[in-house]
Amino acid sequence: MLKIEGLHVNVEDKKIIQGLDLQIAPGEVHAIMGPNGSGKSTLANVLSGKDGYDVTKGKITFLKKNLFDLEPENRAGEGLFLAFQYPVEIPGVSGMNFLRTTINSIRRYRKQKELDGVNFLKVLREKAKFIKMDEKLIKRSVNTGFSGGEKKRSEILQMSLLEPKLAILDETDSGLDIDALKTVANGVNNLKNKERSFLIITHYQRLLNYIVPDKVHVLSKGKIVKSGDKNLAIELEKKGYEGIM
Amino acid sequence: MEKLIEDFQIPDKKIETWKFTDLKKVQEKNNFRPSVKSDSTPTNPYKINLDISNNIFFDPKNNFIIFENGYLKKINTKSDDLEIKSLDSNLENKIFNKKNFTRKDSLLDINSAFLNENLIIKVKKNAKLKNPISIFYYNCEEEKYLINNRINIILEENSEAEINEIFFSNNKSIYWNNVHNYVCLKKNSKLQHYKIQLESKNAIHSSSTNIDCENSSIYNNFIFSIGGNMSRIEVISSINSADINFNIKGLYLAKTNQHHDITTLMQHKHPESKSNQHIKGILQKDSSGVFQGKVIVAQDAQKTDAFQFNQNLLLSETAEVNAKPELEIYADDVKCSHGATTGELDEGMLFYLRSRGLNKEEARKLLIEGFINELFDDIENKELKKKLLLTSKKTIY
Ligand SMILES: Nc1ncnc2c1ncn2[C@@H]1O[C@H](COP(=O)(O)OP(=O)(O)OP(=O)(O)O)[C@@H](O)[C@H]1O
Ligand SMILES: [Mg+2]
Repeated sequence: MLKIEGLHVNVEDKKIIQGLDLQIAPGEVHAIMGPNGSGKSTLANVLSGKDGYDVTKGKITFLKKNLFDLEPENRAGEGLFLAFQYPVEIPGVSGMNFLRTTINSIRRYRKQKELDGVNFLKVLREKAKFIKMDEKLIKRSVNTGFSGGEKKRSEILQMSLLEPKLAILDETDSGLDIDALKTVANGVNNLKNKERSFLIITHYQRLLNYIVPDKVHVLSKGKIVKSGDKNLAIELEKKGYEGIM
Repeated sequence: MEKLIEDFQIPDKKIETWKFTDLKKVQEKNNFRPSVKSDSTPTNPYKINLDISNNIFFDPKNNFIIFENGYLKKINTKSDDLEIKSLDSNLENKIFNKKNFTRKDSLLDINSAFLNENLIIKVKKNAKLKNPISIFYYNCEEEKYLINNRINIILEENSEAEINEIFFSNNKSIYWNNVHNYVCLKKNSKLQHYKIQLESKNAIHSSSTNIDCENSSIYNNFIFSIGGNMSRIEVISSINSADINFNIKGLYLAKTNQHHDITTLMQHKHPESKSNQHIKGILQKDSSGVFQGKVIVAQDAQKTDAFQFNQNLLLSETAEVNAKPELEIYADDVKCSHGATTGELDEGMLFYLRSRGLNKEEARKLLIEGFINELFDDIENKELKKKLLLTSKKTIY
């Protein structure tokens, strides 16, 4: 699914990622944990194709394609999805219009038939219900004035509509109350299948009680310094980063 | 002695309120001649020009007034509560208190000197007009003429109306359209006023709307400025009483090398009224935009609530905007705010949309539409709103 080899990334001449290797096979759930500023969001942004990151070395293959050859929208079309740590607000653009445009852009890329208004609404209602997102919220401008939790829910709704092959969740659990956390985990678990992979960036072991990872990695100073199974997360919770490194 | 256009100082940058718009230069280049009023009334009954009847803003069910090349051709009223006729200028000064609207430039004097038509539209007491009044200013001649018309509007007590003015052409004609409106809103009246400026790409548009408001009246103005080579649209209010609700929403949308200017003056003279202005601009290619908005709150006008905001979207590196929002407050117990922003499409938003599968072009379109949508949200006439949105989309893409 995803293969990262010897990745080095600079931001404004500052070395952020310094030799990162990671492989995710189809159907696997990986978790990345690591102190603030260790480069987790940087990695997620580089994967999604955001500007402003200078890849100085390394290779990323996504579904056998060189990821760097793909524009952000084509990465999304191929099946990459990033739930942002800080989703942007887009005033004036209604959620309905946005979601319909995005789902149909992706369907076009995947050579699937576009959804008409009726079918789109059907799919949307079903997914929105599952992750308990109020339809009133969807009618409003995208993310505009949403609470922290509502923004995260909106990201999960988009994820379930776009049916990605690899979903990266950047601290989607931060700031969620316990019920919202369960709903988000449900959203992920419901999408889980043999082909679909997840990369979950989190600070808290509690999310991993609901979404059980196949592998847990610790990122520090731009490198993966330790990998293990779900027990690594439990150990981390007890001993802290200093205790295991 | 008859006056000539050469007798007038055409506004240029030497006048404070014309710092960003040089009308004189354009007049020197084009030498527009005032059109002369013909004395002979046409004998044949007027048949509505196809360009007008095919215009998306034309609806035969509405009350309408038609000007062609500056001349009044037709008045069609559907209601006994509505009166439209020529106004003699002696009467005009009795009805309208022009003191509230003194000008520092010559545009009104030019309008008076070469006046083609002076109309009065009167909506009777307690009347709530069902159908809008549409005024079409259509042009199809090519001989560089200057048009001067004046429309006076009175809404009597407790009346309600919608007026939309549509300025358009066959897009070949070359002219300068100089229009002045006086509006008098009596107690408890409500006017929706749409100014839809779609002049010929070679034309000059200058207009001013001067509004006198009495107790508890509501004025909602929507400026939609798309056409013309140069346009200057002014809205000047005189808030003479309490509980007035005065709103201006405006959009200027420039495609090529156009210059759009919206200038407003809000005069709060009496306590406890509200004004709200929200003007947006979208500028492409080598176009330029101007917003000048001045809010004056007199010493007596306590508990005034005045808000003013100008937002511009620059879609090219060569487009330019001059924004000058001003507050002059002499009262101490007021709520006022103003501001202006100018920028390109937000990179963060563009990336967010692209990460969801939209290509650059689709993402840009969606964001531009979003920028416009905010302004159209509370247009009361839903059908008109649809047509305006459609027209703006056509202009951008
Ligand atoms: N645009 C930028 N300009 C300058 N520095 C940046 C920029 N983006 C990231 N950085 C720096 O890169 C480092 C890694 O940031 P990143 O956001 O990847 O951390 P993180 O691991 O996601 O942290 P957190 O857990 O707090 O979300 C930080 O030191 C940050 O200040
Ligand atoms: Mg982060």
